[in-house]
Amino acid sequence: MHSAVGEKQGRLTSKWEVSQLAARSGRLLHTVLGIALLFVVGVNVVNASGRYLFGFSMTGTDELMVYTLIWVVMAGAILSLAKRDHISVNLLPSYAKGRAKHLLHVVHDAAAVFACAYVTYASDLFVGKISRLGTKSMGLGVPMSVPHTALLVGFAGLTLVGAFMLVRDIGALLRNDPHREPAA
Amino acid sequence: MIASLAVLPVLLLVLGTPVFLVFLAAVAVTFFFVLPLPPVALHQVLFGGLDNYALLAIPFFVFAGELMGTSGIASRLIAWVLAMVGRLPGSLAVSTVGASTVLGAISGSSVAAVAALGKTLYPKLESAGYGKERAAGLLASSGAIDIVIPPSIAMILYGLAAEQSIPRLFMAGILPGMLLALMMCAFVIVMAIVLRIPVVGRFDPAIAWAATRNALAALLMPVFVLGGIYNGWFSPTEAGGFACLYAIVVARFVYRTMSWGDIVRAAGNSAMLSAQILVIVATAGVVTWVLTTQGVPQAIVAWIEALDMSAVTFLLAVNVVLLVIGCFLDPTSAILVFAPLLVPIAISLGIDPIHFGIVMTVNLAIGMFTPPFGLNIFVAQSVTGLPAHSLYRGVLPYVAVQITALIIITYVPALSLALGQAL
Repeated sequence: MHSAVGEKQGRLTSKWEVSQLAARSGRLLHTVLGIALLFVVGVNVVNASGRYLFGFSMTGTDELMVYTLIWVVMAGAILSLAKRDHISVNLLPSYAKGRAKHLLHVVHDAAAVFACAYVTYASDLFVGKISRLGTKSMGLGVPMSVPHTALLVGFAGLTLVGAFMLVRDIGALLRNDPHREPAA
Repeated sequence: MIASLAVLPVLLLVLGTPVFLVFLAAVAVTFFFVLPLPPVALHQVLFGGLDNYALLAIPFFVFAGELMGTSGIASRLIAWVLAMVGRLPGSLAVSTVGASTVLGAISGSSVAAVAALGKTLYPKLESAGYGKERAAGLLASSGAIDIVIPPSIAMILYGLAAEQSIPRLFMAGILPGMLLALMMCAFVIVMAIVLRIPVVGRFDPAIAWAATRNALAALLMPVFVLGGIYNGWFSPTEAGGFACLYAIVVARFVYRTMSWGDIVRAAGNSAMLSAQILVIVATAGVVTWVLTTQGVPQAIVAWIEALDMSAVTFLLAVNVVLLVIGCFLDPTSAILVFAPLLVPIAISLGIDPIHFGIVMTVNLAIGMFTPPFGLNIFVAQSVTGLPAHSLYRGVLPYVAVQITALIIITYVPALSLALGQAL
């Protein structure tokens, strides 16, 4: 009995630690995304000011900004999925309660896993192909696999987060036990 | 293909699945089970949807709006509008419309405007005698004006989807946006007279001057941004970057309401919201690509031509269809999916694509607060704490007012095109 209670407490502590770690990672990623956006704003202002005021233009800045944005979009999409923050018509989920709500979450998670896994597969094929060709961008001269990998990493991340949420939500559905969304 | 690209998305949408997953699931099923398309094409089209310099304008304007909201600039603007309106019947309601219009000229985010105005003005409107439903309805509907007043994210997306000039679209949105605001003001003045709402406030030049000085830095922002675009100083994307810089300087050094940490947090929030919008841009692009490769737009054009439809009838049909779609789908998704399908038909019927863009934008702006799924209704719900059915009743009069404005905007193209031709 004593050891069963201890084991349960141990599981709860472990769950709490995982939740804390997820929350910290979320906050860190949020800050990184903010700094990345500030960087893009800075590059844009310096480039435009340079061109119009001082008559100089930096090569490859447009590519730098766009490729950074693509990485920001994919990382932000993963974090938004984990926080269930994506734009949706959420009338039904907002009124659903108990098992019905869990069931809706299971549908959303399953859609995420299926769709994102398929795009991950497609991206993997493409990134493999472009890496073999060794194509480089025209302005910055970086391998084109760098920006394309953002989609591979992003959709792989979305698939993993979706799979984690699916397992958690199926468990919650079976137990009819509400779970906490990770605070990020 | 109808099952994978029509039935499945509608089903997933109703179940509350994130919009980008709705599009992605529909496309993945189509690739996997229906059409023999190479999977790498899916990656290429998704990447192509994001690999666009003009899209940078979206995170920039979102960030500028976020800075304006969190630095307290929005409340200074509300105070300025209140000071300017003075002794007018329905002055508080007129101020709500006016403040929303001014905020629209800064950020272009309807949701942010409803949230910012709701916290400050809802209690005042309610205690002034407008009633909970009318007050909440006014807040939800006034926010829609933001989408039409430039800079507008919806117009940037339309410009990209329909390959039209974004500065021309911005210019074309000014008069229709003003018409919406004026008609809303006229309606709330009449409402205040009918409801015998006591006239509050008075015009005091000293207070008005103090409020103007207090809000001057914020008021100069649209002048700087839009003036810069039309004077050829910078492109809309560059203007977005300068708008961010301007907002940072105002928030950090002029009003001193934000620390560097607050600015990074605001940038993080903006990056998240931009990611949510842009991932829809990429996935909607794939849906459009699949439809185009299967000849759907061409089939629709042929069908419309076979019906021998006039431009007047087509615009009427488009308005009805988009008003219905706008009740269910957010403007971003609706514009990205439907602009590439509808614009070729509009052009073939002799409708100016810039005018058509404004018609689409106004339509979907109305959809933002139309029951049952208008996004602003949910925002107003969270701000006011009213149940959805009360808000549904509250917004209905304003839906009627804005549909009247939409009819005028639709059938008087000069309203959208005159300013661009004159300048």
